[in-house]
Amino acid sequence: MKMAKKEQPQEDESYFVAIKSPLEVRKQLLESSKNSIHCLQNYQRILLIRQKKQKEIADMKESVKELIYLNKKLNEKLPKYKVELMQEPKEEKLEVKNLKAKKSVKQAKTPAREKTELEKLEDSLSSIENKLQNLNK
Amino acid sequence: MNDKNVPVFVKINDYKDILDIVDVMKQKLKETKVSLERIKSLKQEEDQEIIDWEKNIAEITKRLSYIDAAFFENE
Repeated sequence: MKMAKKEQPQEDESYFVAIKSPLEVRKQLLESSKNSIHCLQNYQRILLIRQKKQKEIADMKESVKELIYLNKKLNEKLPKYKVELMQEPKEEKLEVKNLKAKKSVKQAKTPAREKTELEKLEDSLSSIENKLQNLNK
Repeated sequence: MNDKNVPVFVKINDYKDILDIVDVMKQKLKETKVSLERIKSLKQEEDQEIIDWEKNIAEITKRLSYIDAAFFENE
């Protein structure tokens, strides 16, 4: 008995797309590979620059810390004076009142959290500004 | 003369110390300025790298569009 042969579809049936300017496409591909490598080079250089910058910033931080220390030392060497003596008595009374009020507010507050470095700096600044204001009075 | 602006007198030992401290502070300030200049120049270098990066990305986008068009213009 003869079996009817089924027609097998061609397995290597392929389609082709025409590229009108293959040389130009190849060139563009290579150029874009070049650009990609340039991007990676940029990235590596930026990493290096940032490392250098961080080192410089750390050095600068150290120098500024030393300057703050020296400034403090200089302040200690200068003759002392009492700012309170230069203020008018009325202000003193007011301050005492304010302090009492502040104390009662503080007692009501929840336990204070640890101050951040920025907050500490902010406090030092305001204390210096107060001193300056007292000097200018 | 303002009360607060009366002259003050500094002990001679303290005076020498003050001069020394001021000298060290001047030196430290010089170093800080140099550091700051280096940081500024590094920042400029970094900015330039980022500009170049942007240019490279733009170039890749342009070339990819060309390739895309070359492959799919037949559709």
